[in-house]
Amino acid sequence: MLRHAAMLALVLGTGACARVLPAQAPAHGSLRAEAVVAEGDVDAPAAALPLVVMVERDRVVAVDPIHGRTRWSLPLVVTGHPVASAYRVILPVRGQQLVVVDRDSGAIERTLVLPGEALTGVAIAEPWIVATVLEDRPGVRGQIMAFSTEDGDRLWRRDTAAPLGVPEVAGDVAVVPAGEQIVALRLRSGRELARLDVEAAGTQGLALERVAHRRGAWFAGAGTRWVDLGGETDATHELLAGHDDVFHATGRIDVGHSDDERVRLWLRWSDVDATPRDAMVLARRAVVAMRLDGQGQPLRGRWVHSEDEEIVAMEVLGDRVVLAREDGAIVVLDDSDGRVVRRIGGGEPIRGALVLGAPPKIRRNPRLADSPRVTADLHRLLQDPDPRLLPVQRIAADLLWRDDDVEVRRTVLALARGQSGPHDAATDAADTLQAHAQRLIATRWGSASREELAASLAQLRRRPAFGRVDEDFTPLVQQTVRSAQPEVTAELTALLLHPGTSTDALVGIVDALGAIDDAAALAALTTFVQRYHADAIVATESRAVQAAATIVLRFAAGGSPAGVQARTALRAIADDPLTEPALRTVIVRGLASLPADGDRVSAR
Amino acid sequence: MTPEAICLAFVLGAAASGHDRAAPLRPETEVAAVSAHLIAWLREPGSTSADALRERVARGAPPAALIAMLDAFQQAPRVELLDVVQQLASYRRVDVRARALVAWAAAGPSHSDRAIAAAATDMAPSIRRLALALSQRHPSAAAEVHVREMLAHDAALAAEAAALQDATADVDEAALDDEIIVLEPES
Repeated sequence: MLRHAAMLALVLGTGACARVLPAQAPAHGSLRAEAVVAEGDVDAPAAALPLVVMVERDRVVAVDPIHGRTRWSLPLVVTGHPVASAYRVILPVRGQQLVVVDRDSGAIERTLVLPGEALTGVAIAEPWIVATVLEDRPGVRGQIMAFSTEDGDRLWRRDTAAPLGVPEVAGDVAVVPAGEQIVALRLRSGRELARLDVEAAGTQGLALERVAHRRGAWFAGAGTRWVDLGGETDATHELLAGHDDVFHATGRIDVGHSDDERVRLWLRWSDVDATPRDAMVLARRAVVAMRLDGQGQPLRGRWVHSEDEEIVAMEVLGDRVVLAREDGAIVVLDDSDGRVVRRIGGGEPIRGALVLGAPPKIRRNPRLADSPRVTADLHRLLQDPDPRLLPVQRIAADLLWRDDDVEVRRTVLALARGQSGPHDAATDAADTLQAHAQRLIATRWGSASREELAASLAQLRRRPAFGRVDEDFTPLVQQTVRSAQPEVTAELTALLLHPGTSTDALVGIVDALGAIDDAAALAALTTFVQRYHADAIVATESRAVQAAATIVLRFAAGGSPAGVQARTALRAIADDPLTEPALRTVIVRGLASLPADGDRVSAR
Repeated sequence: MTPEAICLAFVLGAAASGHDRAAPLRPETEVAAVSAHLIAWLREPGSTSADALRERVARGAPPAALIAMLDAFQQAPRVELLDVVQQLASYRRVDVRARALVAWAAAGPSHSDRAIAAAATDMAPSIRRLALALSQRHPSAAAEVHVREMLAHDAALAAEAAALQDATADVDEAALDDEIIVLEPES
């Protein structure tokens, strides 16, 4: 009896693994403490051998991207996303099975049969393979299981009451999203080690599709929205804000390679802290590499590359970017400037590819020179009429808008006003791109950080007054042309109309308002010209009044209501016999050169 | 702190003084015509004339015409047109700004305090000197505070005020009313 009881206890003890993982349970343990991964865990020599595993309609082909040789091929219909370790490639195939293949030779080692309705995701870290599947049984929404890579034995499996996401394996721990929580399981036994609440999943609708482990930190999320699982707060990192709609969620079922993957975000993480610093966005047949700012937003373009065929996979290996094209061709780029290093001709069309090799090189010098052509390439990208490029065209507009050179930013202004653009006809893509540009120009411009912009704005809000330290606004005003936020227009116009603003500063302010080209300044500029047009002293003490009139003339060329009002005001000034003569000349000539009906322009 | 009331009068080179009656509108080919129109609207009661004056000033008028109008306002303030005067208190030229502040102060006790406050923090020394004079014409506790704060930061004006107080201590108040202080436009 005791022996039976002992056996029962033993079974129940190890059968903690047999118990259903609850959908929601109190948080416990520490993910970071449990999932300790040494940086050198990967077999470096094997992992360094690059390989592109290409998924054709009914075949898998592994190609050496350096020498352009086919290493092996297998007559398999791959239905999910392959994963790989230094030694093996795991291929999800029809029939809810995983085929384990020797990475070097392509020899099939074994086939693992999975339970459940459909595959959710697979991860491998020798000597374990972890898979999650979708279930549809009462009280059970998913299953997670671990297999040995050496003999294929299923080591354990656990039912879960919550649907699962794509797992990640690190060290001897498997980490997986389960509903609105993250669960860590010991790989040897499947025992639950830690459970973490992700508040953003409940309150902000963050989709917990997968877990990622990067440089000692754990992240969960999908697309452009990720949360740091070890962070002090549950803050969500929303990278490339405003672009998340183009990166489609994969859901709980791995349906294999699809068109949705041809819009993809790749992130390079800082080696100082676990924050993304560089990004690449793939959109069908173009790739834009960029530097991100501290908030994960596009800051500076590094290079642009486009192909005439769609790109189905992209990965960074060492200091190279490897692209797999839909026609089976492989293109290798230099990570630093995007130039083509190698092209390997294609064979059969492919649906997707897994690019394997050395991890991305750490870029220790974040100030490495970008491609000297990047600005021109971004401009050219904006002019491409291919609607498939819309995702990267939007990012190109973002990058140009973050440039400190006002001439570079004019492209975005013109796009917003419908004065330029890639699409002749009024297509959806054209409208979307213009709408994006219109939203963009209502936000900050240039490269300054939010903190720097706030500080500059606070300084600009000061007004000349006796008793204050005599301050020269000129450098501050010049800075607004390089980088500022839209609120500066109100401050600059207030300074324009302030009697204490020095004559020199006045000229700088008018020039800045002209460069910023914000229609919100039109009323103040018109008031300035009206107020002093008949004042011989103010109108001639500097070129400020004439320069302001020139800017007003530029807006008057538009067909907007504000432009029409400006034109009326200028005509009245031109007709006033008491107008300062030189100013009248400027206005009369300017009015004469305006188009009769005005262009249909939407001023910012 | 201050001597007896100091009377302010501004000498203008260009402004005409004979605006006794609102003249019919005539083409504004001269500053005098603009002055006449502004003063006529100022003296004509009702919202129509107020709107006309407001609109004409907004369209921009020669400084001399504005000064003439402001002088007339000072003589007979119309509170509903105070917004025009306050706007002209931000004019770039000192002479217009000074007239506007004087006119503003003439509109009543609460308005004089605000006019003095504005004058006391002006960048132009002559306007700050005007604050001192206005505080004599429109004394109040608030005005005294503004002036004291101003003099604490303006040593030159404080010395000037002290010297003036010494020099005029025995002068008859009636005689002071006839003093003229000429404000030179500042470069």
